[in-house]
Amino acid sequence: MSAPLPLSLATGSAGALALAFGVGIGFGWCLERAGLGSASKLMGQFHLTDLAVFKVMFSAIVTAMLGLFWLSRVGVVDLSRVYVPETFVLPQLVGGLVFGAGMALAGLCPGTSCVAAATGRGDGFVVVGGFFAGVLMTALALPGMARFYQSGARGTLTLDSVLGLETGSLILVVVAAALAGFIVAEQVEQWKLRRLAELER
Amino acid sequence: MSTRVTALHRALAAAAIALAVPAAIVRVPVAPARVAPVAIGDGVRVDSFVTRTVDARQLAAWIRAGARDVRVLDLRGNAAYQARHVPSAEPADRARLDTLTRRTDETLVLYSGDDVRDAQALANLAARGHRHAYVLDGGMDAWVDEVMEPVLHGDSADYVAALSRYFGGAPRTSAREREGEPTPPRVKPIATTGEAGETPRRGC
Repeated sequence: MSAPLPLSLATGSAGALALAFGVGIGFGWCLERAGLGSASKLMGQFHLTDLAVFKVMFSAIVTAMLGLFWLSRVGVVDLSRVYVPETFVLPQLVGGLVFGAGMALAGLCPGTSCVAAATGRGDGFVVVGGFFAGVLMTALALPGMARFYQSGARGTLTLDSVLGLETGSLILVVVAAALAGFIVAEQVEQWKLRRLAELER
Repeated sequence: MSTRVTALHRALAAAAIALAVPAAIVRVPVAPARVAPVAIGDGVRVDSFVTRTVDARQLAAWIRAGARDVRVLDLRGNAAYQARHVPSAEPADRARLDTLTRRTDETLVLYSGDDVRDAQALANLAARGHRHAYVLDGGMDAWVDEVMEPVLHGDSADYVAALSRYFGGAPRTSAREREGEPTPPRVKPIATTGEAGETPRRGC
């Protein structure tokens, strides 16, 4: 489990597992309440009729970004203990494409498929089975593609360091982009729904 | 969309702006930890969270050479430690690693017998600025197999035997050598440090 947590909770202890369970329940509940346990919700994203996924994701990014920044500012969170995944350019690019294709085909991502399965949806169970099979096959194939898996390693990269911006300035830019994105998303949804209504007439 | 929802959205947007604007003015007190890239294999790469490993014979060589600033931490628990441990290893509690390892310039080698816990302990050490923390590849089993009871063959047999006897080990001769057959050259596995398959990356 990633920091910011006491070290005793970050080493697989019973407390860490209990906390992870609680966080998982909360995360699943939020996804379900946002309607993301339904594949049709995600399909709305690709048909531009319902951009809830975009709004939820960007809301989460903005909330986490502002929360971490200000919690670190007031001394509650030590940002140096927050895990930042490493960047491997080519494998992550290919992985992203595969992931995106799978998401568009299935209408669910790993998190939402768990939510869908938990609420008894058959497609959720199928997708969960599929990604476990995919993980297993990838793990078995990994030794044969070790060179590719390690290619394009760039260490931990963050947007502010890449763009040469102060963290706070970057936050302002992202928040502004998110708010603009929400306004545009609303317009796109309304335009698309109007178009569909016209076509039905 | 109802007027109430619209008002809520506007309030949230205003709150985000109210928090973002001062964020652009003040500075972050603590920057995220950065660990200098280290050379692995042919290139320079890696950051703090790719598991770095040291093999048992390398560790044995360090200990025998009396390398300064090398600390070996046994994270398996007291019973396992009492039963057997790497010479010079200290029993350590994972939850107290931060108090045990205040100096960030020493070389730490740890083993717990659990890959995930090894990786987490290493990640915690790296996050606190330890630049030279390693996991003993294969843990205690590898120490026994490769140092205490190694099978001797090939050009390195004499070196491995001497290393093993230094620690009171009992090197064994391979059946192939006993029968006088030529020994095929050992192929070094790709994995030495931070290789594919050793450290699962995190994701959603």
